[in-house]
Amino acid sequence: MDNISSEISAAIDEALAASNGASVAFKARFRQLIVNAIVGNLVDSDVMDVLSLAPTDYPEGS
Amino acid sequence: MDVRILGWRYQNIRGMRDVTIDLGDQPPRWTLIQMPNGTGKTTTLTLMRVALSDEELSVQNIRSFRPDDQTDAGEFQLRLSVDGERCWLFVKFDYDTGTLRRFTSRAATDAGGLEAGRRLKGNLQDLLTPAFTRLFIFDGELAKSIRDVGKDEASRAIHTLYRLDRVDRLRGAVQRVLQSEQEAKAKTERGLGNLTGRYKTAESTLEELKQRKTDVHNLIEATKDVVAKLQTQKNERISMDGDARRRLVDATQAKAEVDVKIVGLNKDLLSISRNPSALADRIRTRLTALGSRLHQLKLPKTTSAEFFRELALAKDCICGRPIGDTEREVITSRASEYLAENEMGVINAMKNALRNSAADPVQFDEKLESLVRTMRDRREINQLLDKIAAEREEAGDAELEHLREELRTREGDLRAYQEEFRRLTTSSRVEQDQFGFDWKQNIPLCEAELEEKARQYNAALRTMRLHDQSQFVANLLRDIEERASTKLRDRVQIATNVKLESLIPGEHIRVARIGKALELASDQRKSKESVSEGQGLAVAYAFLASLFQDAPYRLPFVVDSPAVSLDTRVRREVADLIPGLFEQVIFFVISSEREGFADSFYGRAGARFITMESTANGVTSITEGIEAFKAFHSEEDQTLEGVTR
Repeated sequence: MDNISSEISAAIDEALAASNGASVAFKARFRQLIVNAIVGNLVDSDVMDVLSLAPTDYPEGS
Repeated sequence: MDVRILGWRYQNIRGMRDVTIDLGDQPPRWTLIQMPNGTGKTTTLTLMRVALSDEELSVQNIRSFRPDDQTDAGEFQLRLSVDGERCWLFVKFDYDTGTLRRFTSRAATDAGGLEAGRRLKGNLQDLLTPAFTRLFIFDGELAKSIRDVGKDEASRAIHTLYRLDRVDRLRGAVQRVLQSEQEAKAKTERGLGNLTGRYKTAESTLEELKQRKTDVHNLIEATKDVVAKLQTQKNERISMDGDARRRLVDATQAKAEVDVKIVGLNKDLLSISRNPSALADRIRTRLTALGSRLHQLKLPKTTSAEFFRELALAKDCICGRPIGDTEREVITSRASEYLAENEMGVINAMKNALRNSAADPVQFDEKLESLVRTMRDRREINQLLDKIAAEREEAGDAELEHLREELRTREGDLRAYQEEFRRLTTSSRVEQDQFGFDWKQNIPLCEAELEEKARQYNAALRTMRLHDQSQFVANLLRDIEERASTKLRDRVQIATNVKLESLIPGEHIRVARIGKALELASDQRKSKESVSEGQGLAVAYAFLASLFQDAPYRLPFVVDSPAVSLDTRVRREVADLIPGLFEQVIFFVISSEREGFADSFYGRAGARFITMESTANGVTSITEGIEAFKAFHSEEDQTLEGVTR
């Protein structure tokens, strides 16, 4: 359904399962981003959106 | 993505003056082209690779295509279908210089015109590197050195073919986004710490300045009270003498009147100075001259064109003279010379403004002179007030002397406080610059500094957050890439070994690992350093077939002499293996490969047979059909058959 190989799909699932601290929202958006990238539909603004959801030790600015 | 070869054409390449192989818009699944050795099989595969990829050829190689000394140019055209769209790739050779140029023609995009360079659709442009193209335009040289299929190519091919390279590109995009955010911002913890320190310094300075402002304000109010009381006491003291009291009352009243007059004159002068024409003759002269020039400019087209049309139709002109046919014609033909675009409306507005800007310059001078006079009057009244007080002091009033001294001191204090308050609070850039205030002395400047520091700090914090987040995402992508690469390599390896079990059943040669190269092993040896040419071919076919098996790209497979070095049994295995794995296969064979290989296609629907040969006069002939294919026998092939048997 993702139009990517089953091996890549499984690799994404495994890597996300092993990643600590990532939110459900990040995982969902990240998965979509990587699928878009593989099928040639990569947009920098999407990258920025996903990055902003990634876990970090720094607090949010005022 | 589905790529098919629809045909190709040679022009002035070796013996092929003008030869076209046309496989049609729906090419057969299997095309077997029989060519004797030395008639251009290797050349054709080289030309296909050069057309499909950026593979370069040496000057010597290019000149080897030259058919004779009289021919200085040659051309190879490869006709493709990419996802159903037609595309022609041209390679034009200049035999004198030993150079080549590539062109592309895509009917769907430019109606067949030639574009310079190789312009393939989408990711195909990047996918088809010279090394990758060798994997499906397969000349047998690769099979001979099958252990070198790797040399980075096995892993890279999997990476590219299954689009894992795009995960790598995504990692690049993450870095790109981060870098654009990092421009001129703190990139390190230390940088962030420095910005935090600077922000806190500005914050505490602002607090101190605001506190000082409150204190100074209170001091001003308190000092004003003291000054007012001292003033009252001083006046009461002076008023103890009757004559002095009268003079004091008169002078005080006169001063109040003069103050009111000064305020009025200031207002009038400010109002007049808003009209530049009123300020100086020179300005007025120049503005009038500008207005005159603007009068010569044109009228706005949309609003004024109608005027000329109506005038041309009128009986009389606006000057009163009658309008005849000649005048009408002249008005109509010349109207355009007096019209311009609508922006002229703005010019017209300026013309009107300038026309109405006439002012009386004398008025400003008179008011200014009156103000100077009134200021002088006030100075004289102040001097009179001082004189009244001084006379009382000279009359021996020590108390008054003390009061006046105290008043002078307090008024001095008040001026100093007021000056400090102004320094603390002024937001006038002129004053700030004039007195050299900086953010440590002036509240508006300090507030701006704090805002800038907060902006820098937040930007730095955001950058640090983003840096942290991008590292997380980059590591995750690397993890995915490694996991996916391993899984894909394992799948290709397993599929390759399944095929090898039937192709080379005796020795059980298998792929032990797809690393940077194909690492082979057998039952006897953990590491199989050398294999026979036939075994090498079998491994190569099994690997390539497995590699392309489930790839998102459907590519044609072109192979030169696929079975010449295989024994008959393996030939049949290969003949059974290859065709089913590709949507389109083009085999270049010699007659000795008919037995055991080509003959297994004789009964298959969807197979096409072409025989190419050079005739005695050097012309290449093409014969279609299975009968000619079966019957063809070159002298060289007969010799070869003798050797192999």
